[in-house]
Amino acid sequence: MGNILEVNDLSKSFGNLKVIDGWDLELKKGEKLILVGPSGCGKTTFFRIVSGLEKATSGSVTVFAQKVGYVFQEPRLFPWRTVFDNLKIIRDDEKKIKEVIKMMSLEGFEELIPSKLSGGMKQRVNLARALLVEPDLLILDEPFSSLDLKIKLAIMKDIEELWSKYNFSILMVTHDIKEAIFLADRVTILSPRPSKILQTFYINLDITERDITNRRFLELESTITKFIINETEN
Amino acid sequence: MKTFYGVLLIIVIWYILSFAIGSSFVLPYPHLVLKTLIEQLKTPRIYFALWGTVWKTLVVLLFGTLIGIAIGFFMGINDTVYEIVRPLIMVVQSIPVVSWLAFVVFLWGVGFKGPILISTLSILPDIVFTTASGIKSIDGKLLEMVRLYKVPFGRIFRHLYLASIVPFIIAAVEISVGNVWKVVLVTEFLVGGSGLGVELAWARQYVDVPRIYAITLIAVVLGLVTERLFKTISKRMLKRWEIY
Repeated sequence: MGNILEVNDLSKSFGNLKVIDGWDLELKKGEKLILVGPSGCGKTTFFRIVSGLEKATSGSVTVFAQKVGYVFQEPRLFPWRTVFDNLKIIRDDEKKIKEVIKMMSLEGFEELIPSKLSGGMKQRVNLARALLVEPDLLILDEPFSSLDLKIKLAIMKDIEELWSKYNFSILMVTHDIKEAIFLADRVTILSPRPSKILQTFYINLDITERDITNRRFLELESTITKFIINETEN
Repeated sequence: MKTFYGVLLIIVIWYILSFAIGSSFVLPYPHLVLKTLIEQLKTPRIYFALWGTVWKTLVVLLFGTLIGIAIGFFMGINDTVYEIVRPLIMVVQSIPVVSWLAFVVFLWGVGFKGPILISTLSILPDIVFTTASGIKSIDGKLLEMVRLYKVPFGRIFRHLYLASIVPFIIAAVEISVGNVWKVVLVTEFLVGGSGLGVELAWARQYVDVPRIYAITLIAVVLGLVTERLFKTISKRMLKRWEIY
């Protein structure tokens, strides 16, 4: 299976402040890679480099995806436009918009403006917008950080189902280990700044085990947590 | 009803002052002015003058707004342009109307061009700076999002830039509408070929004081009506922006 993303010896500094230190990564087509790291470890900077908004100081990032969907930490919606119009700005294809609205359970909310939506609904529009471009690669930048557990789990379940159906690659950053295990094929742990890649964990859980109360899920969470604590103490 | 009492109060004060001053050359009684006004309204001349002022004002508002938005837009999206153009606009803002009058009288003499140019320049700086502030206040994250999704620039301009500056533009034009009449009248008075300002100049020439007041009344009503009209339109337009 070919790669959708290749990162070779990537480093990024802002002046004298080194943020990313020699990352090597690859993401296969249809794979779900989640990066877990503390605040300020360069997760968002990495996304900005992948998106082409920042340049690497050294090393390279190659994106092979034709279409990329972005799910931002905050919904980034036009406040004066309805849900439908927010999607229409990205892609003027009413049939496809209706399809993603249905997919994300946003039916009945099409004509509302963002201020009338809950945080969870706004994030659903954020995700619907990313799906509207029919992405090969879905990039998620801490998309659940402002949501409560119930809504977070519901949206993660939706992402899992959509992934099973469309098989796009997923690259997500988070500091929440539960989120990572729930969605990932691989979880890569990052050190604090200047951040290095410390370890990659393969999440060999089937769909029924991707449950925060499942024994294997909890074991994995415990293993990763212990690893992070040990690394922090060292 | 409160407005009616307000108008009544103005008329009462006017009567008292006219009585106290006791000279119709300085302040004629309201009924004399009203009589002159009715006489004026019976002649086609006043309507030509009125139209002369109205079309110039509309042209000024249209030009001032369009040029102001264009300059303000580029100043808003580019800091270098902002720093280079800002002193120029500030100089335009600071030049007194009389200096412009002296300039245009040498350039074009009497006619419609002078009042249009000067009045446009008088409203331009406010529109420019307001537009630039509007553009600068655009949510950078929203802008980043549309760029990442490679939304065509035309759509970004219409849905993000233009939509973001609409409340700013409306506020700036609202202020301009109130002031532009006064500038148009002054410039017509001194370098105009037609319009209410020119009628005022003739009335002054013949020391026809009630006519001066009658024309002034027309100008005041015109100013108040357009301001109210624009407020009603802008309120409707702003409804979309106010609800979020």
